[in-house]
Amino acid sequence: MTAPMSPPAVTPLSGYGLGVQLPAGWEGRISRRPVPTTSFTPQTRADTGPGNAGADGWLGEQMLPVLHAANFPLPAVRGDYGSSAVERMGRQHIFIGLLEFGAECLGSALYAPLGVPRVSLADFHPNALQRRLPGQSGCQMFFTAADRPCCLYVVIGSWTPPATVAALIEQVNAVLSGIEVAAR
Amino acid sequence: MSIFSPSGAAGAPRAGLAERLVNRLAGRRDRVDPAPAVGSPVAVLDRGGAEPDAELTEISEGDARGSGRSRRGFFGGAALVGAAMAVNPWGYLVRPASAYDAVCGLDAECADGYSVFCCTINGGSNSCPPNSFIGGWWKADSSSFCGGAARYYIDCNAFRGQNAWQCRCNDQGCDRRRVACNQFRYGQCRLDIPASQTGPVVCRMVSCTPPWQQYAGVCTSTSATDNRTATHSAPCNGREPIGSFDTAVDSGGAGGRLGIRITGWALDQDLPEQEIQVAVYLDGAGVAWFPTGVARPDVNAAFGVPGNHGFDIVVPAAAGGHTVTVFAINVGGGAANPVIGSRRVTVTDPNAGLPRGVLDSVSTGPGNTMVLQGWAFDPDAPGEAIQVAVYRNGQGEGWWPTGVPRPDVNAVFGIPGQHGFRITIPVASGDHAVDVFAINVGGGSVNPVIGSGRVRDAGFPLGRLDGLSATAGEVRLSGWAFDPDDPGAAIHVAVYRDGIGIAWFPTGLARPDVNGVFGIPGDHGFDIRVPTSPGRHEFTVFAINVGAPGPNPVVGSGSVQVPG
Repeated sequence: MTAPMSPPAVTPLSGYGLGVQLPAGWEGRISRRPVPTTSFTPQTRADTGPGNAGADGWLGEQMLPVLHAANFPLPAVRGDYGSSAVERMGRQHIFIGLLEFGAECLGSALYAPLGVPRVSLADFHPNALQRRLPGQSGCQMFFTAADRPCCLYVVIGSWTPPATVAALIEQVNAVLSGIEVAAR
Repeated sequence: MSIFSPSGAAGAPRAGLAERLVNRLAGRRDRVDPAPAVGSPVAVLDRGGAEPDAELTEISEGDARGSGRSRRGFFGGAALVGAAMAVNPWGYLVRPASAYDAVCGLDAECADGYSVFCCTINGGSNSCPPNSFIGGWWKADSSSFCGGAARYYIDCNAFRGQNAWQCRCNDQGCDRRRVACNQFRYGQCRLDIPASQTGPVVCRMVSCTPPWQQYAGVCTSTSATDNRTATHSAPCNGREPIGSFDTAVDSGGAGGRLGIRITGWALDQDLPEQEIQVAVYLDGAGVAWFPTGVARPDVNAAFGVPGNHGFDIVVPAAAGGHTVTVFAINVGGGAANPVIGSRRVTVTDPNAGLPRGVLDSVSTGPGNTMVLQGWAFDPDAPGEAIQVAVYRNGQGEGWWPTGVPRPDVNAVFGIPGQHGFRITIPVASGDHAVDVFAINVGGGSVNPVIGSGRVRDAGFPLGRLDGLSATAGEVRLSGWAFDPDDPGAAIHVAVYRDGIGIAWFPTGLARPDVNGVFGIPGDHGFDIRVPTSPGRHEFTVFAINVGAPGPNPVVGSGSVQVPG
């Protein structure tokens, strides 16, 4: 008799040179939005309207990869920093976003820290959120890994008690340890 | 082992799960098709598609997560809104909303957690207030605030450590969002300011111009999107024009052309006394800008403003269904020309069913006649020959049937039958004006004019001096001439040099082109050589009348330099 297979401890997800090892119970998405094709000119600006120019931005915008990971179901429609997802979080939930930025950011003060960071309790605050939501706290870190400027944004569903927060942060760091950024 | 490793233990299960997911997205079934075990991860790589609503809903089917809750149900509410946004973001965003929503949008209370707009706290100015800097930006797609294009939001962050700003809720107006509370940065602007010097978002600006262009050198172009903020705004954000698209109706062919009559009003409260313009789009294509200027005392009373802010426009439109969209043109602050309405209208052609036709040509014919050629048919009986009525100099000449083959007409209108006409009418010498009417055989009560024309000097000779050239001691004149009174006969042309008659010369050279155009036999060309001394000379050629008494008309003249 064959023993039933147990689910894998982690599931890897990769794309666009980003990768993450998703623990059991986590979801992940790596996406890149379509590149706008119309130049922003007075003429094209005047020609806006249903189905016309500029609906999803203008030529020149860099659409770079975005990684989302969460221990709750990610909605299909999400803002790049997790809007429409974070509103669904419970106290035990975690949202992690990793956004790449353009090469022009290399060498800048904002993106000077190197390597995918880890987080600690001191990094989190209820106001450190793109959108403040009751009970949640967040942290944001800019860094460069493999010559790719990135921003890490983490939202956890609790701010108290400390033991709960510590446990969530431990999960966050476990996922962060499985994030890889490949060189372009 | 690296996730990017092409082989190895880490890669194998990922491939299997990803493949199952892809298959399920595509409607294919795994051979085994096990539902994911409780607690197993869901991983999706979205290549090129930003927000695959339906796909993810499909993925969730049968996924029994720890909570036991149906994920289809979980996604249901979001899918409704998400689908509306994905399928028709324009329609979703511009649909009527309450006045409150229309001004400040959703999530406008402090407890909603978003940052206030700069104009709300900065004296109405859509700019970063003192002691703040542009920290980054995002966009919302298909924004009605930007005429359907993306709308950009630009954060102004405080400097950390300056304590110039304290976290608070704005308590004035409807934009009651947070001031200097959210410690967050989008990260595309002022890259010289590190995170350690970055304070909270004081407020946010808005623009329809991409920030890397509007704030070139300050902001970079890496895009970030948050469509959840698409409705967010504030009353002071440029005070975009407002208005109402009240009616759009078929103009009924008023003024002799098909069209749509559009009424409503538009007002820019930045300059409330000024009459602004509205831009009208028909089926997505711009038609024109039109001024307001029609009195609307109800608008004046409602907004307490002077001026005439109504519009009453007729735009041309072909028969059929059309979508009319009206934009109000901004004249004050603000970046957008907002849509004030879009309506669907069907235009009907009151002339539908009336005969159609064209009088192609009117010319002189042989023997003091005039010839009329053209085509006519009635769409009510497209295979039948109808009749045309000819009026000459205001008097009815008679009715003639069509019946001449016109395959070009058949091809253009996709109809059978023979709809051409060629009518010859005896006329006296002189000028004649004609009007041709197509006689209705089906619906409608009008016999429309399909053409009018005029002939001059009917019965007099016709001709043309085609060429006038010189060689040493000689001038060459070529052309054609004939008299419709005797169209097969070769007539004479008289040549005058410097006002003095030289001689009469017979026509008689073949000119099949002339025969073809006028439908006449005979040889009507001439090619004459006249010995002439060096110097410049004027030549005139007359055609000699051979029928009814009349003048010998000039068929051409010109000047030529004869070399020595």
